Amino acid sequence: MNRTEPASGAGQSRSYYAALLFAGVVALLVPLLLGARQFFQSYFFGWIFWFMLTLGCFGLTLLHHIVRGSWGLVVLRLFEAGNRTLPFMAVLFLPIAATLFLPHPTGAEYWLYEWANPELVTAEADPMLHHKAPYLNPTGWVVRSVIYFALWIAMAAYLNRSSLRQDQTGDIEEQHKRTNFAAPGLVIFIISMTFAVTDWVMSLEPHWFSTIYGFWFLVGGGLFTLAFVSVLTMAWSDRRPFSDVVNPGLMRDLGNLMFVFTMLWAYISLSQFLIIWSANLPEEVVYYQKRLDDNWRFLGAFNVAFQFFVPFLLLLSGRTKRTPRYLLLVASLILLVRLTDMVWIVIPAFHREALNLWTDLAALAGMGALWLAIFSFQLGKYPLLARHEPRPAEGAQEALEHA
Amino acid sequence: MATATHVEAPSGPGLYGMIAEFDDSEALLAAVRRTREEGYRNMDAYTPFPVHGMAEALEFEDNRLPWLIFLGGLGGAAGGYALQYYINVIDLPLNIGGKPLHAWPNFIPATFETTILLASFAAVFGMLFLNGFPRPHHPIFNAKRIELASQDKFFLCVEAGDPRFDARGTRLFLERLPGVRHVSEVEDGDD
Amino acid sequence: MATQITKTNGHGGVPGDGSDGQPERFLEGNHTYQTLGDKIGAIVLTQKPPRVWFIVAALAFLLVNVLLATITYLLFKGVGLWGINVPSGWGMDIINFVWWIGIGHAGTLISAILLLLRQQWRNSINRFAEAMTIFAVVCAGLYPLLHTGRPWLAYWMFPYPNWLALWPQFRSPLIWDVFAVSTYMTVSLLFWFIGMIPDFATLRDRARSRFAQIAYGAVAMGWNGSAKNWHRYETAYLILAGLSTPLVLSVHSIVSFDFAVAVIPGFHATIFPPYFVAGAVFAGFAMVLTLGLPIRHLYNLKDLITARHLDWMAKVMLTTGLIVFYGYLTELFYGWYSANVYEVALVQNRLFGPYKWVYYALLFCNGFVPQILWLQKARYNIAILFTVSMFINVGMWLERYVIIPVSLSRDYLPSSWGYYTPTVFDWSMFIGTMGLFTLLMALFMKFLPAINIFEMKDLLHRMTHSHKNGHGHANGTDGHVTGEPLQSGFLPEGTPSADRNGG
Repeated sequence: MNRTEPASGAGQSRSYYAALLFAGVVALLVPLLLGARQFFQSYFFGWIFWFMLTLGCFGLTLLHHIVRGSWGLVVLRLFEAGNRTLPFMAVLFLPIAATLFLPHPTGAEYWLYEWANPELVTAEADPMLHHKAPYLNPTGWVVRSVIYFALWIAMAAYLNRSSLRQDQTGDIEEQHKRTNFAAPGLVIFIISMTFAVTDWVMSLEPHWFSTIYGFWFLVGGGLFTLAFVSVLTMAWSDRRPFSDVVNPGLMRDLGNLMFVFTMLWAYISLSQFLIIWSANLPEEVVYYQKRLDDNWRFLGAFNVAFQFFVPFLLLLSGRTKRTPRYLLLVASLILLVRLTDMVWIVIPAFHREALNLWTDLAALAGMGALWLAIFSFQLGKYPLLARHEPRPAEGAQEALEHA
Repeated sequence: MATATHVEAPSGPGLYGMIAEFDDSEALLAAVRRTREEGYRNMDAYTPFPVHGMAEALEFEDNRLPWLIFLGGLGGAAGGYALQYYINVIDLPLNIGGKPLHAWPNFIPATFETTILLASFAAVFGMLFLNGFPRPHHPIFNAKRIELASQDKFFLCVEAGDPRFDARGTRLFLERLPGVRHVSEVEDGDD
Repeated sequence: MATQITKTNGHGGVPGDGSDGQPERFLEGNHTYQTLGDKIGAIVLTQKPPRVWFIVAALAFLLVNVLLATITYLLFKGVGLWGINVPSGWGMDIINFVWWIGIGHAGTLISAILLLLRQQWRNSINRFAEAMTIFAVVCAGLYPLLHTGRPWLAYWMFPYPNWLALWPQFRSPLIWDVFAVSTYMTVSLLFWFIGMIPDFATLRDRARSRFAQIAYGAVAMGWNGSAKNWHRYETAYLILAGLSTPLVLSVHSIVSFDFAVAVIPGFHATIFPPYFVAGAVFAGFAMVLTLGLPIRHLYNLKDLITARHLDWMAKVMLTTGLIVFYGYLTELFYGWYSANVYEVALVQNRLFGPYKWVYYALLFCNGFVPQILWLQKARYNIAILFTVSMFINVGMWLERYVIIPVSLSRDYLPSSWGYYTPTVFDWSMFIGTMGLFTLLMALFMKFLPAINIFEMKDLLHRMTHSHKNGHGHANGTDGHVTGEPLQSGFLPEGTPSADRNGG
């Protein structure tokens, strides 16, 4: 590969983006072949999967501005491009919001959310949904969704702008401003994100709840994003400007972060499962019953093996973290399993008669094409590396060099 | 694998080696590199804190410990799970709360603990074993001022077991190293 | 002359340290390798403890006697002596168990995580925090042991072949707890011990009395500072830190399973494992500050435990406190959202039930008070830090009170509701374990190196080294880690040790 060839899809021709967008839209429409309801389900799945990457980028941006580690600086522009997909993802969210207000589909009582149908929420029909109605109702849901997006877009825009400004002016004050902003920002983000995944994903099964759900998605999104930026930096490790900054220290940091998040993912997934499985309360255990029936249990086992054991053992070895190609492979594996894990979390909520995944995968690919087109366009807008200084760590720099 | 640099000094009275004292770790590090260039192989450095780059300078490598720890963890995991399986499924099958006998999710916490426990044992006792501890009477303690190696001085000891070792020549060589403070002989023997 | 107490400048006393007006360094004053060893070693070897030490130790000893008397009477009469009775079969004994084990989390975690992250600031607090861990786990262990009612049969909880065909039941979280706590105790002891081996050697070589030489020599196990030994030692220590970190998380997670796996509303919540772990770190750091601030003052360790350390600890407390607060809020919200009769009743019970003041006090202590740590001024103010950490100590105790008796006294059947009141023996036992903990800490301060000597030397080395290289590293703004006076200690001629030739 040519070492001087710049990284990223930046500077791609207009027809490249047009083709990507066109392919994306076509793929998104494919599920219509199985009817409108299937279309919305698949669309929702594709959207939430890619949106976790957007949110992961945003969360890690906040984290980076607080701790200012040197690894974060290298991938900051990738995170920031991910942040700038937020408004587009908000637009792509509109069809999902529309399902709350569309007339019922034929042959079913609701599109995605059972609680959106007023007939199903009366005290007689379903006392539980009736109890939740002050929270789970179309108006409240839309208002909250608007608030989440507004908060995130505004916060991300502020941070991105400050970071770009600092590159131009070199003003160190910007950095302190971002740190002071990001610390409470992260608190706001975690709380709003907990409610958002409750509204959007948990309420697909409105009778079920789990208090760890917010953390579960937080860690899943973080792992997804770390794997994604690892794939990009490793794939571009011999192209400018990453060829200058991809060093053993960065690779070890990314490898260790994926390692930590892999363990956190296992920890949270296991905690939730163990508590629900052991208590065996009917209203809770249905969630896992559904996901451990004959159709789904193999996917669950696959996730446990490949989201935990395999990356865990691979990342335990120092060699994986020293070789760009190995790190790339492990990160790609994690990306793949993030996908299967999301399938396992979301799709069983739709109670499908048959296990028809191809429409979901088509929607996923379509949404992916749109997401990546926006991402790579956004990435091309600014220099790929931020130039601000990382937080000086006493002696740590040396420790890294020696180690 | 331990490299061939580690050779037991000949037993009985005689010389264990020649020791040189330095004031700081950089001087010691330079001295170690210089001594290796000179062709000496059997030597060791004695410092009050771990000096980064010293193992590389001595070309000392020992990767057995991480493997020992890994095996310890593996043994702990397999043993811990097998223990629970044997107890709750084979030897004392009781119906508890309608849960299956082989309640694998419930076996995970204790398995995790035994994994960590055995890996930690392997780390600590493996380290002590590979270092040959406890060994309160090492010949190096015969050296003058060696008690300062745990305070603020840095020592390099070229061992008599080295093929190039020769009491006079080695002493002369060490005395000419930059930054050296004292050079003295270290007697062999365990007391 | 073996020892000399260095005069310290206190923080901010070093001219031209390049910091922006704040004390920003993790080692202050004019230290050399020798003075570091002197200062830390002297506490153990020659320094007479301050008078307060004797007062504290005597008081603590008195309380240990209260503990022993309580335990004796308890063994004689049975656990009914405590206020536990149907429906609250768990009371202050389990509250205190969880409280102590939570405190016991900061030590190993601080030490291990910071070692893995290569944070230099750990060096001056890790040893002390690790000791705190072990003593807190000792106190914690007493409670479930005595709670069994027949502690002399406690070995039944371990799997060993026996003619009774008696085996532990691994589908119960209580047996996971036995494994978790005993593993934690063992590994923490190992971690603590191997961290001290090089320092034992330092003390062995500094000691003047024959007894001290033999005693420290025995535990140093022949450590001679060889590069080969250091190499294996560092590998083992680092990997042990890597093993300890998930272990710490697992222990409090498993303690949380004791509750969460059950079906009692208020016990059964999936958020419990991470929320308990965060609470444990929160409580642990609060206790580190509660003990560390007075010790820092009494032993004049301001140049080793700097304001920067305190700032960092305050930030960790703020972060973990926010996670704990998040836990309270999610429990409230999802309690209502669940639409489950019993969960909703639990929320009402906490907010408006007979123990509502405990719950409000908890929200105040753990939720609101720590928010002051957002202010940098508060993080650098010793009095505020100490006050906040005391609030957190109380708050974390209240948290377990809210979880245990408040949930147990009102579960599914209103006909079986009750009200839990601790008895005087609950309190004497609790105060007694505080005495035990304090006595052990006092003895630790007297007989063992409270601060890691060799790592402090390493830190000093890096600080001087990076100065010598003229900021040649990637970060050019590290002016505040170096300082001219530090280098003066590096002079080869006339170092304080020169007259110690031959000892």
